[in-house]
Amino acid sequence: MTRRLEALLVLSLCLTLLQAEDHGGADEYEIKAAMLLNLTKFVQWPAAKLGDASGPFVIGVLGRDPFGRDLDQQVAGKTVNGHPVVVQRLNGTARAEACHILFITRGERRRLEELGSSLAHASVLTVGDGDRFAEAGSVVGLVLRGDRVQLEVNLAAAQRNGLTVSSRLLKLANVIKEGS
Amino acid sequence: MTRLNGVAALLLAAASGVCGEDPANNPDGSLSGLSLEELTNLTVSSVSRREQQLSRVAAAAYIITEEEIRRSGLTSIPELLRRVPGLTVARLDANKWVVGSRGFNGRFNNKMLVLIDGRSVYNNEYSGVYWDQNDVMIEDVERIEVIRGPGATMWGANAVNGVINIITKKAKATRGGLMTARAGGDERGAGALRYGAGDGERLNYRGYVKYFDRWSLLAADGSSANDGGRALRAGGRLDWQSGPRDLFSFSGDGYRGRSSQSVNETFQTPLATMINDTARFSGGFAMGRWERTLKASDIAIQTYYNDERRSEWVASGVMRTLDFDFQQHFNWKDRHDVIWGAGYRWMHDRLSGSPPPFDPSSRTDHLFSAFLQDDISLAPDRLVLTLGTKVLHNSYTGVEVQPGVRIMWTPGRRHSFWASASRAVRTPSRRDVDLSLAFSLPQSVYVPITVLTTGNKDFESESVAAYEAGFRSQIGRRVSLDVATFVNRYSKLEETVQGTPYVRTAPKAEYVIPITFVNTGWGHTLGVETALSWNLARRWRIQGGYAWIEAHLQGPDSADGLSYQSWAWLTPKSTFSVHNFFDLTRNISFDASLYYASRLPDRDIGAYERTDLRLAWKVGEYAEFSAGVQNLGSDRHMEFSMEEYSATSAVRRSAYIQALWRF
Repeated sequence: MTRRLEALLVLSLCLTLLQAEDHGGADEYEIKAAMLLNLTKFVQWPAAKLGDASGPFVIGVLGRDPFGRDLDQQVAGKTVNGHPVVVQRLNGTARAEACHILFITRGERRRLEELGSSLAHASVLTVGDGDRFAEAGSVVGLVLRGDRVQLEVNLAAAQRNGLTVSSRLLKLANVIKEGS
Repeated sequence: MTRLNGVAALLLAAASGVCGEDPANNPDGSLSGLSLEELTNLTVSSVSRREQQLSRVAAAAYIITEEEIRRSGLTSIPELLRRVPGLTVARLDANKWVVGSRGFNGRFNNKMLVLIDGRSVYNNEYSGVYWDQNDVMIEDVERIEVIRGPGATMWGANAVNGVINIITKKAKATRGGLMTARAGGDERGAGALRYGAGDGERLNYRGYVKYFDRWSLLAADGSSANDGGRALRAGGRLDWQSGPRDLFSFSGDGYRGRSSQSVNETFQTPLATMINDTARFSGGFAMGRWERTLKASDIAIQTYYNDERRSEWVASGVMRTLDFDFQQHFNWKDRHDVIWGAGYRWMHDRLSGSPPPFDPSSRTDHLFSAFLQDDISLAPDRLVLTLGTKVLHNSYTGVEVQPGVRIMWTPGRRHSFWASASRAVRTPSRRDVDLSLAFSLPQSVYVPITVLTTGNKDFESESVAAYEAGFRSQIGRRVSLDVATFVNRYSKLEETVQGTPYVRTAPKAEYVIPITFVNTGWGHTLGVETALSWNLARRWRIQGGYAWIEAHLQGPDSADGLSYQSWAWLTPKSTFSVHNFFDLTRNISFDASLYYASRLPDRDIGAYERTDLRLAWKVGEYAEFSAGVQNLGSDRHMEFSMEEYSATSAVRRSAYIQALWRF
């Protein structure tokens, strides 16, 4: 009796786990990956930054990549203004300026200060993962409020980085003033 | 067994059901086709949300979320705590609960610290919590964080086996009106009204009033236990964001109520003579908090004043607490995430009775404390070493040091492993040191005999050295698993002993049997606690847990003649719970919970299971109707044995209906 029960439990567990990988739930980082791509519709990069048509649109991930395969799968085959989107994992801040979007992981918030001066006018959309990023100087912060991912936008940082942010984005996001 | 087979069948059905299920949110299984607005409205699956909040905690932690609270249909904090795997909650009577983590259960579980928004509701006189008078508006609760095991490095003394922190919502989150009305279940009738207003940014506030009238439970023979109660409570909160960096928050409440009870005049379980009594209570608190957020650091200053009055058979009096707390959090040299703080607490009471239960009857205690904790990132985001200690000075035992070391390894974002070693103490309460309870045996014919229980001026702190390890794992997108294990080594545990009887002549000639408290118990406990959360299908989620615990305690036999372990332990060996959340349609949800506790060792309380069902119907944005059954499985069951002081009642089957209206 018990043995049959165990067998049933194990079987159902296996079946469900097999399903689990295939069917996307609303995973937090799946949402955040989709948001990164979506942000490109609300932000205008200067033509010089985008370069010629064959040049890639670079999303950099600074810090330990929390996306797993989500980001790569979502950007596959996507373009921004005709530029193919590529994802680069950065080990340091050296190549940060070359990115169009720089996603900064939770543990790397302290890097914002050192990035601040080097990214000025570099037209990089800095996106911080978590609370207090936007206050600390990233253009966008992705914060968890209750069970939803919300956007915070720091307009001063956008201006400093030389980006134009659409007013439609401001309707969806909380506008954050910079801390001192 | 048939029930278990049913569960297995359900699981199997679920597994096959998943195959036909549409992937959540989007037909092609990806979210990239959604607009930004749609993305901001997506719900993060609770598996990863819970994981997120817990992923950085190197301790056995559990969070009861707002959704869980709402869908449980439960109306009191201790009942909600049943849902935490590894906690043992038992109902003593309509107004009293045992809430224990890792053993040593009793109404005044002196090894658990309970905080509401950082305000301690742990009672300095008896070591424990009066759950009937420490209450909140349930709809205000944002989450309940429970840490099993020592939390002493951060929270201080008496967090020996666990810390419960009840966190209420910010005023910004409770704008608009809310009204609830309920009949049945634990209550004959209950209702609450809340109204919040503000601009959503700078200044927000709310106020509430709530009332309940609780049914009596049942006595052993099935008659009414005459232990009902009622309470009226009003409170509020104001949050003022004065600038981008400063948040001021003020809160407070006031209450009045009564709890009927059946108390034991003799305080000795074998000689119980029960009388009916009513505890009347009133009180309130006022709290202020200032948080300043800077780029690299943040500070918080908090102060509160708490006033509690309670009058019942054994004593009546007032207990007051004034507390100041300072905390700073900053990053240092990139790798260090440091949090430190200092606090002072003033505690004053005056307790009278005839005869007076405490000697002296009034006392003022001072508690000074400071703590430092450093999260050192040995490998960024992967390996974090936490060193911390709390040092405090209390009026009873002087200086106590409570250090801890924790390490957390996170090899990938879905898995983390942790281990810790820490020391914590339970400092003496007024009862341990100042108690003076005389009871004359009614049976004595020839010589008057008095049992005199007195505190011990030399009572020391009980202490624990705790060794813990655990892991959290997210398996696929749908399952998260949390496992914690521990071995606790206790020393100087409290024990009541009977001294040598003697004859005294004043205040009257009598034969005295003295009883006092000593620090003679010791031993170890070990256990495993698991929690599982599983999104079986888009509309069906399961959460549950299993815990197992065992104790090996030594000490002299108690004054009741029980072995030390059977006197002090009072904890079921295994507990189990499973909660089903079904979203039948967008507006109708059905929830089913099963709780199980094995028999209470050394007492005549058998294993029990409890099944709760709830069906809720949301009507538009503004109204929700729900109905439920609690304790479906049996007419009545007992959850705990009699306490020294009060009778234990049987929990019965009940049904309720509730309406909630937002405006």
